[in-house]
Amino acid sequence: MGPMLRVALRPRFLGLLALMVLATVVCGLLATWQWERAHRALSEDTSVAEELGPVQDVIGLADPVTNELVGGIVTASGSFDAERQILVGGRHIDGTDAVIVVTALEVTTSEGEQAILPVARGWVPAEQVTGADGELDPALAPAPPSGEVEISGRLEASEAATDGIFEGVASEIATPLLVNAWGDPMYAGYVAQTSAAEGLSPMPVAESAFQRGLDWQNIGYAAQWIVFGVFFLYLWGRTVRTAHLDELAAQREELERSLASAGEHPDQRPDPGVPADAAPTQEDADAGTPTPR
Amino acid sequence: MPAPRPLDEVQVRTSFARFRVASIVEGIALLVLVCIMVMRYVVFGGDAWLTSTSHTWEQISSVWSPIHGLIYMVYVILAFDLWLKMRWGLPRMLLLMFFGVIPVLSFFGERWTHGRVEDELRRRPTLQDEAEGPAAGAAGA
Repeated sequence: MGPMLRVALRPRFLGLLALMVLATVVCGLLATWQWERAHRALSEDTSVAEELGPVQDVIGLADPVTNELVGGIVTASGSFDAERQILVGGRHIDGTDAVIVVTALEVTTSEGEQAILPVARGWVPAEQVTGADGELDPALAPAPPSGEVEISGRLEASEAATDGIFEGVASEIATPLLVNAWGDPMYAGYVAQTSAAEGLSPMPVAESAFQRGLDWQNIGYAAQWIVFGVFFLYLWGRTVRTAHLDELAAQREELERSLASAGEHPDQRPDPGVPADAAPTQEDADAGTPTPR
Repeated sequence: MPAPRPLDEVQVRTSFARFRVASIVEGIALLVLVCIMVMRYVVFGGDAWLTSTSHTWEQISSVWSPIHGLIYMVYVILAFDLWLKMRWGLPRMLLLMFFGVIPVLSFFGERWTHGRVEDELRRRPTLQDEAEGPAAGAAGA
């Protein structure tokens, strides 16, 4: 191990080792990422369509909608505010360009406080709410029922906001945007209504890639990255070993040559104690030096 | 630097023949993957990044991606085999792996590698040179 370690510690091989370690670290990060994706898939998969009860009992005002809760069925009672309703466009549902109608439901929290729960009441085809100017027009959306209502639907986490709300139209169902437009207090998630809503098609399951059981594929990818990471280190070890063995073989050949020439000229033999005939053949086999076949 | 060790020309040629097939298969597999990705994310792309509106293309992609991954792994193993037989340095192995991940590059990489192999078999000592004797080796070079 000693001489091979000395080969490994040469600047050239240390530099290559640094490169290989870097490659392995990158592979490790990619493996971790895939591993986490696989687990996210698992945690979301088990939480679908569980009956959770009234929304007030499920989350508090300040609580986030965690992965365990997403997709669970909640009920809510209160009254819709027709003034606080937006359109969320750019969706594709059942092969049609769809627009989701999101309305503020005024509910009473478990502490007796008035709060806003955003409800995606359903969707309409885009052309139904597109005005003459070709823009989405919130005035064309079906108005919410008035008075006290009871709805049920899936609890969903807020979508990530990429843009704002302009004239009642947004690109995402994002509570950070809605709280600015509608005021607070507001729940951190929204409810995708599954009970019937007049003039609207019911919301489809908010389908993400993670819910489709990609877990094994992701675990496979994680394993694949680990294999690549180990392979980079193996390549380095192999390179060091080859360099070391090549040098040993070269040294042996050098010795053989000097011994052979010493055999031809016994006067010049460097070390009289070494048997000139026996040693080279033995060395030959050890070094793996090619023999003609 | 010690004198370079001789190559085994027969083994090198066998390994290269395998590597050549792997290069072409990997090149085609990668092009197919690129086409699927274009269909999935560009032609039927959603509004957000990396989303798709076509379930069919998502399905096709989820079938082909692992198959392509497997083909690439076989490519790496055969490249590694050639690399061993050619007694090349570590950076050359990284280059061979790199050829397999850029679309279309593996076809050119295969031709370039062929050139290197032929050139080095001519210039570097091989076992076959020694078998034929120094005179024959010199005549061949």
